[in-house]
Amino acid sequence: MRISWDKLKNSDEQEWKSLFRQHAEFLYAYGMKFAHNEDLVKDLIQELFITIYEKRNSLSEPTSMRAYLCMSLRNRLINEFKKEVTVPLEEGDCSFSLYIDDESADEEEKQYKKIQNLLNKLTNRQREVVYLKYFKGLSNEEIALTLDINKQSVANLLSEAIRQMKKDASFILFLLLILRRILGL
Amino acid sequence: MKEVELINILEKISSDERYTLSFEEEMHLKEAFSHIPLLDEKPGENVLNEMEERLFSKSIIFEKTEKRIIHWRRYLSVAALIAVLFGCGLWIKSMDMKFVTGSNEQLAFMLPDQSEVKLNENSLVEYNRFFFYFNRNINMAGEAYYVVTKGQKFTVETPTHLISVLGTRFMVSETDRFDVFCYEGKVLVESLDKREKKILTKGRSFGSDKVMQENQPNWVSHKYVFNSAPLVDVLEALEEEYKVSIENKNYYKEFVFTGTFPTNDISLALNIILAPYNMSWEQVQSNKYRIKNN
Repeated sequence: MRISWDKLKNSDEQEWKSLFRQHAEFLYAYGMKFAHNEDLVKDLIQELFITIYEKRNSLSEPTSMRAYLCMSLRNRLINEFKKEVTVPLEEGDCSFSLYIDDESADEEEKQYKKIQNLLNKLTNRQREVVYLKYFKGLSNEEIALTLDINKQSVANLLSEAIRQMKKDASFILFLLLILRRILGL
Repeated sequence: MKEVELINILEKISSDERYTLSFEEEMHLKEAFSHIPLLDEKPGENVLNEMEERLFSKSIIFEKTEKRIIHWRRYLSVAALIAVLFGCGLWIKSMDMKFVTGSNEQLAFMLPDQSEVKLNENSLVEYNRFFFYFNRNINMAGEAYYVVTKGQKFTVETPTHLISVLGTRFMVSETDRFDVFCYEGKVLVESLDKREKKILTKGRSFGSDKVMQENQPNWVSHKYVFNSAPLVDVLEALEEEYKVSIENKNYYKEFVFTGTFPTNDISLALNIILAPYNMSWEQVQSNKYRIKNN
């Protein structure tokens, strides 16, 4: 469902609820990748919506609402980390963790473990880009907006990540395994 | 075939940094990744509801409650302001002072600045104790004699004229026709329509150019001014002044009198003193008087 920016501007409560419902789950999952702290993530998402609501009249409609929300949440999280950490936080140095759900791992358990190791070898930034691109389906433009970098840097980060993973043969094996399953072999 | 495709894609990405995947190629990659069972923390429905409630139902977000609070507060402050103004108004109004004399009555009183006012019969003086503190301003009708202590401008307003002074003794009379007599100092007399304006010096009057010799209006007795005095004291003073005796003066101990009486007319003096108690008098002998209850 497309959210109407005009309705948001006019404080249409139903429209704000739709906006919240549409993005809350995604933002929650994304935020939890930075810090496994449910209360912090919940608070920041709420603050985020309140701020956008208050600023709605001076804001122009974001080209991608999802990317805009991601970017805002990300900046808020980074600000929180900066408060906690005494040593200044380098850009892109905030942790971003991806975990394979081992509950669902059955006979391919070993394979999944390997994938987990692959993901762990990536830098925080690469993991983040891979997550947004391949797991969440954001476009390069949206990722560029979220991380506040240019589109080319996004492409570079993605290809670096793939190359890094490809170094390990198990990645190919895993992909083949998946493909076989898709093809019903 | 798909396997080959996927391997080709990966080859392309890793061999050429600048290689951009086609839409189809990207779909293949996403498809492959989507089979990785990634742990993706989902907020429970209860968590979402709680957040939504905080944002909407309890309305951190929604302006209408914000506005309602502001409006409510604004109304409250306006109401408080009105109440305070109304209270002040009442309080100031309660400081309105009014002095009236009827026929054959005279009244002497002090203003808050110690200026004296003597009111002849059928006259009226009004002022507000609160505003008098800032602005010595008096409204009057009839005939009154003023002894003004020095200070800020002192203004007397009659229905037709405005008399302003700094410190002086003067008399204003507008019973038959308007007139002002100045006994001391300087008095400025203006008509309210500003057409007439005259400064009076000692002994001058507004109505005529002849110089007066009197030191005060003939109706004013400076000698006796009573403030809640027992009636018997007042009558004794009258006996003294006119060299007469009043037979039954002791019957009226419980009465008190405020005002003054003239020293040149015993009939008027007795009328003035007894009128408030609805009593009259009779002359028994040439120098003997008796008070009668009506």
